[in-house]
Amino acid sequence: MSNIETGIGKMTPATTRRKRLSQNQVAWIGLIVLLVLLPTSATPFHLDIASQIFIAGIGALALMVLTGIAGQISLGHSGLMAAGAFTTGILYKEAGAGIWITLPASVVAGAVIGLIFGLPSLRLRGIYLAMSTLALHFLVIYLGGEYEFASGASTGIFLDPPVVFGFEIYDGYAWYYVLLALVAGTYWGCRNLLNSKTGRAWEALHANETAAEALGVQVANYKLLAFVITSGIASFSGALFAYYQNFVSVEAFTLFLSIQYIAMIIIGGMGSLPGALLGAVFVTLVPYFVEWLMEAVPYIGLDITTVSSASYAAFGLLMILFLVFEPSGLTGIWKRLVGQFASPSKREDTP
Amino acid sequence: MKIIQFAKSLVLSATVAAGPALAADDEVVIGVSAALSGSAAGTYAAPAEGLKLYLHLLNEAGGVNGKTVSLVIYDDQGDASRAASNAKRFLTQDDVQMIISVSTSATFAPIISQATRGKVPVLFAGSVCPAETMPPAKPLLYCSTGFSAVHDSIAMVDYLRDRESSDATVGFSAMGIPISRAGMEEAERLVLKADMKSAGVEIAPPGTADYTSFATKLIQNGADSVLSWAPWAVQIRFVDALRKQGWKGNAYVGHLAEAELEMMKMKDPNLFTLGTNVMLFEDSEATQTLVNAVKESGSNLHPESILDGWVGGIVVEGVLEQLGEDTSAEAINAVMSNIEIDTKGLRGGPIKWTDDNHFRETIYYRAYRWSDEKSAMEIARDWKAYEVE
Amino acid sequence: MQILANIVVLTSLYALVACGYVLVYKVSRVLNLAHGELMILGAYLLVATSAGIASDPLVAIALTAMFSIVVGLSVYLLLMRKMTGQPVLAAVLTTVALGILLRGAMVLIWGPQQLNVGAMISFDNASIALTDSVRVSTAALWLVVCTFLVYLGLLAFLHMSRWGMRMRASGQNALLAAQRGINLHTVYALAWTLSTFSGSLAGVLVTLDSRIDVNMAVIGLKAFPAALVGGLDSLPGALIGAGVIAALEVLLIHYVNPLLSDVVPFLVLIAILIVRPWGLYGTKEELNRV
Repeated sequence: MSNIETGIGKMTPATTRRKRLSQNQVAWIGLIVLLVLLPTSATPFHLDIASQIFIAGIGALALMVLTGIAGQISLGHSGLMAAGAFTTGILYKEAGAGIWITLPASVVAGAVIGLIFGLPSLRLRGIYLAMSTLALHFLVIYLGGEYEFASGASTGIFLDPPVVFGFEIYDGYAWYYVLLALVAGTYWGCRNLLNSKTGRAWEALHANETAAEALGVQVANYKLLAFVITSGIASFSGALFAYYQNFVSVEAFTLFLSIQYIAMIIIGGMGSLPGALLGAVFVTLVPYFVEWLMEAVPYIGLDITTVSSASYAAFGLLMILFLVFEPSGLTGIWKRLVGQFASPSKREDTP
Repeated sequence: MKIIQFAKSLVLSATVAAGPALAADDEVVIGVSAALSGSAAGTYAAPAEGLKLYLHLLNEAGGVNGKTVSLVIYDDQGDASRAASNAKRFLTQDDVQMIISVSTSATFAPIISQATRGKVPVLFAGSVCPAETMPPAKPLLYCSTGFSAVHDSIAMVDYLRDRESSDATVGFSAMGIPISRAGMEEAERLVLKADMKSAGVEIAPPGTADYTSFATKLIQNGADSVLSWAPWAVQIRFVDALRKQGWKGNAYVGHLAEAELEMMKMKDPNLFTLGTNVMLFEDSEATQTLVNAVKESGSNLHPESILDGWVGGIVVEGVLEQLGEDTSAEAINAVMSNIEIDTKGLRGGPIKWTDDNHFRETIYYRAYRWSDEKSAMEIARDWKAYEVE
Repeated sequence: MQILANIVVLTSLYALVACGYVLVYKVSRVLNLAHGELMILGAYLLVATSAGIASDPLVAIALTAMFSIVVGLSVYLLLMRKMTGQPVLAAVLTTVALGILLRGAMVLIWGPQQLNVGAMISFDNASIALTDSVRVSTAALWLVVCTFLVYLGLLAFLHMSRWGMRMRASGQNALLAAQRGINLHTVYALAWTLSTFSGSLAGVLVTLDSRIDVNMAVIGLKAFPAALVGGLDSLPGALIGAGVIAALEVLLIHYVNPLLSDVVPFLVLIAILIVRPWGLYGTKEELNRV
């Protein structure tokens, strides 16, 4: 294993690493303080958007680890979220289960599905693998739909707000802090995972499977592990989504949702965990931005249908512009900005 | 730089969009969540326009008893998550006194869930009527839409029994969404109860592009006539698929917004629609008002397609007429839970809601068809009243 | 027998759509996920030409064919050309974004309502009796004929013409082909044009057979397993894949549960891909390049 660490792990001279770490730490602490204080000046609408971003962030982190780090493309993300939401919804409806049962059960359900649908990855790659994960999506949606119909829940399954330690989470502020803690926890967990042996093995098999195999990485095991862990997280975010929105319905988990998650990791910047979060922010905000733009631009005699379809088209256009002009994603832009700010100070440091 | 500007505008957008909408004292704020884009827009965008148009004209005429309506319209694309977001926005940011849904059944769960929490009445106007509005009705949920899966099925089977021989075999076609499946399975149950035979219920998954094979199955099962209740695009493509295979039986479909125009093009005398709305080929004062309003608005929408939203506007007007000084959500709900609204000749009778029934006490159905002799649309059977239990 | 006829018609539709995926993938390794939208755009172009320019059905269809070529060419020149050299995933996502853009734009221009395009160009989609018990519509018959001709034409073009040879060479090894003086941009543009043209043809015929609305783009997704089962870079493979998927769909609807017709093709796809990861007729070595 040690070969991998020296051979493939990203090595930085120890001194600069320590220094950068401290800079980073300052930035992180600042960000956390900002996020904790943000609700004091936010409207409920802001809080709702923030909560949506946090849920999307958890899902995007999972997909980033699977696709951006371990190199396994998946179009089944929306299906996995549906699996988590339905596990929660069914357990709640049929057995009245509380959050301490539903959430772990959703994670387990996601992990099991991830294991099953990870198996083709041992044979398939790239686009072909992506297509086989599509089957996962259609299967989960089909089963969920059958359950909804059989249980007579023609308008979906309703969920009451979760109760944690006798405290009901319904209020926008409560959700904000709960989800903030969860997304931070997920981020921290993923980061530790990437810095571990597992993370390095994933990077190795992403870079070159054959070489990784030769270096002693058990490719099959690590691939499946990637599917199991990330599917568990995705399923978890689906369960959170169900609790947050107070309902479960197959119609909330479209193929378009999977595409939006892929858009998040691409726009955020492939292979970067902060990128996944930035991507989640961006993709969640775009529709609101377009809506605002359409309202701000004066238009005469346009009916509402026109405005809405224009906004839909604009979403596509924005994505295209990003892909064409900023292929390295938001992380790339961020690094460039930091580089611009940092360069003068560097000049002072070095004679 | 471009990106920085973009980021700035994003922040700006959040602040601008979030400014609280302050309602004037004499203004009732109504939130509308509608499928204005996305795959269901073909069905729901037009009724949403109709609602907007009616209330716009109402405001221009000075409102009702000095009260005007302020509409906050958000697109939900027929998508549940967006509808949930819209509902939260209505309640926390826009402080609406009423929510109107003109969208797919997928959006009902979040809307109902949020509105019940916030104790704001919901009017389904253009959306299919959810079971929650029918007896025993849940509080806060009302429906004025002209179609409902189960009641349309009852009326369709009843009419079919008038026309077909008593030993006919009937086929059914539904779309793979719960509400359409439930309607057609109810219809099959009624047909079997009447000692007629069933050729089976064909359920096409949403997004089916080719209905040929579904039609083949019903034809091979010996269907003499076919019932269909689904979004118009699905119903009519199914009928197309039957006809393409030379099937000549009677087809009965729900009367939805697009029906009149499409039937005039299809000129199929064996195609019947059952529904609660009038068709506009009959010149009455009510239909004239509607057609002129659409013309004058400069919109290129077909007047037929906005009718259910227009009726929703009439309902809002009726509620405002009864509303006193107090315009809170609670007061509006109190008015809605016991009211009779004149549908001004656009339906067979009034919409009457009671504590237990937020759908209709009596529902009136009419059948339409294309007549080859007149070379025009005709009424195949005039209004027939059905009690809602 | 009617079932067999249904399978043949559906096979033709999926094959005609799938060959669009194959053409672009074969030369540039990009999966065009906007193909369904481009296909429906072709049909809407017919609506536009018949309403605005030509009232004669044949002239309208000919003009539509020309416009669809222009569309294909512009998609490549204005957009996909910029994505050459980028990671494949980014290029694929660009086509997804293009699909979203096109969907919005089409609703913007032609409205969300379903249109009866056959009635617009006064095309009578009569039912034709092949035997006593087997009937197909006129448009469906045209679809079968056109698919046959398109495949014949494409195979002849790829294997007999100079540019066809160049396309195949670029697909096998882009670098080598470029070194031998093949202009890759021309080859890619050609692939996009042919793909959009065949897609538009499918769009026009399928909407003449029923109605047109933006949601018909879903056919693109349905034809997708067809292209994959056969192998994404093989034209005969696409034809056979289309046959497999169409037969599965029709038989499931008829004998099992129609609601499974969305799921099972993808499960069969997985099964086939696990046995042959490159599809039935795809090139094996390309795996390492994806």
